[in-house]
Amino acid sequence: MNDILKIENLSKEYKDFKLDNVNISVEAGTVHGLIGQNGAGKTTIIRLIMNMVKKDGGKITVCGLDNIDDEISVKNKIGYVADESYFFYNSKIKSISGICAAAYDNWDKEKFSGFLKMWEIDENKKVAALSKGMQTKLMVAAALSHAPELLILDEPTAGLDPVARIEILDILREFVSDGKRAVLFSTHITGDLDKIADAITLIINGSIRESMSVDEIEDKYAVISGANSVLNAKNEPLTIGLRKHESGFDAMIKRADLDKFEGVSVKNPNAENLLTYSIWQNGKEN
Amino acid sequence: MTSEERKRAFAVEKYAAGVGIKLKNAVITALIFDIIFIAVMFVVSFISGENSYTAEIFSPMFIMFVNFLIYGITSASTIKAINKNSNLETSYHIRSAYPNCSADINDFLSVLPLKKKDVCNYNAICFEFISAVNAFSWILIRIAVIIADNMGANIFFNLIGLYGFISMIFWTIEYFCFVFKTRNSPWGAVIGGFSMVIFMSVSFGLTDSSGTIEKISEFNDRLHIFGVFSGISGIIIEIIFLAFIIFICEMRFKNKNSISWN
Repeated sequence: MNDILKIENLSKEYKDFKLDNVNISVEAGTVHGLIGQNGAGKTTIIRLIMNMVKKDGGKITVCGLDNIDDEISVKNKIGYVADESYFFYNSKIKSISGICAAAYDNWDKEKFSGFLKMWEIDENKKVAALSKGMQTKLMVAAALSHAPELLILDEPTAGLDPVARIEILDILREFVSDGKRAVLFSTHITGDLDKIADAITLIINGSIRESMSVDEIEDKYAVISGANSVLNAKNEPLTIGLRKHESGFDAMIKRADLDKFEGVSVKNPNAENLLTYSIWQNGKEN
Repeated sequence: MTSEERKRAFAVEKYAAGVGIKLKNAVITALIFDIIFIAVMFVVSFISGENSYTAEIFSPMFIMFVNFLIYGITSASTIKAINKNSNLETSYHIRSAYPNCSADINDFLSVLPLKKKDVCNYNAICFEFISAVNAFSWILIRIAVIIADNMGANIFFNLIGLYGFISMIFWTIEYFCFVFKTRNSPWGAVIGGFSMVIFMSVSFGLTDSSGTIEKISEFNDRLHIFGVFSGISGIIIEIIFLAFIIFICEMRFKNKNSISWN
């Protein structure tokens, strides 16, 4: 399939954090979830894609264009929603359309106004007067109003009420429905990804732990729970993020190892399982 | 700069001016202040007569002090805004190209598909604007000096002449500091401030000691040797001088446009 976003061997080092050899491919027509703990490197990856921070190594291409050599074209193809409003708080909402119209090749003023009307955002208000949820909606409106091919969202649903979250998820689903565009969606709220994600990348401490489609995750892993007596010296090391409690245990395992755990209940892993069990496993290894 | 580039730069400017440090307002305030005090000095010098103490009160130092205050506050707010988010590496280059904008604006601008040229052009427009205002201010001063001179108001002539000289040096330093030095540091403001203090001290020395007016007069006489501060030719020379500064700075912007962001 056609890759809208391709990240190869990306690296970035800070004093106390290192993003190491990151490889991610986001295919057209998909919603790609980026999950990880706080400080795992999700936002850094996104800011590197946006060329808002300088990379140390690697290559990022959007629709086949290098994000630095062809920065202007790339930014025209990206709709970006940050975890916090990047608009200046004291600016009026209507002034945003003016600067966007000058900057973007395909700025659609009518579309932007349509979003504002739909979400009942008064364009004469200042950004500061909006709630966090409304500010996120404003960013989504701006991101969708210049015909982007890749939508990058960094924790977009964190400050939204349930209704608004569903509305945003519907928009994302519709955005990729033509099969030509894609979404990269970083979030803590893994339940959102379970609803719409086609692929998931798990990042732990700056390294990619998994990057695959949801189907592949289900094919590769299983979440099991059962009595503690099921565990023995041979099969316990095969568990990922084992959690023991008085009534039994639960863990994620590779589906290929399933025959080594008899009498356990099995379910398909979701994004939250992948994230939590991997983090627990990582904690044990460290 | 093509019309399309200018349009984009103005769009940036329009957004930035609405949320930034109100550069235009600061310059306009300073200009209005200049005009008011030139008028006051003009009137006072005639009412009080030559060698009056009243005229000295309205010395150019006061004007310079207020100008310095206006631009000092302006510079300080810029530096404060930049430092506010200095822990972020966000859009380092855009920030460095935006001495007059807050970091919050830079975050938004770094998301937009703006060329660095657009950002630099915005700066160029800002500086053109400052230069135009300064030039206009100088021309007003020069005209006032010529009129006062013809009417025999020597005190006014001398004080305003000195003010013109000092402010011209100050503006030149300030201008160069803005363009070449202050892009990502407060050094321009510091240098500008120091130069202001030095020139104010000189001014104090000349105006506050005994034989004040004679000293100022001698000083101005020496300046006249260069022909910079006398008559219409002075105005023309100053405009040429300004045009030269702008030309150099525009060249500087053009060179900067060719430098990679990374």
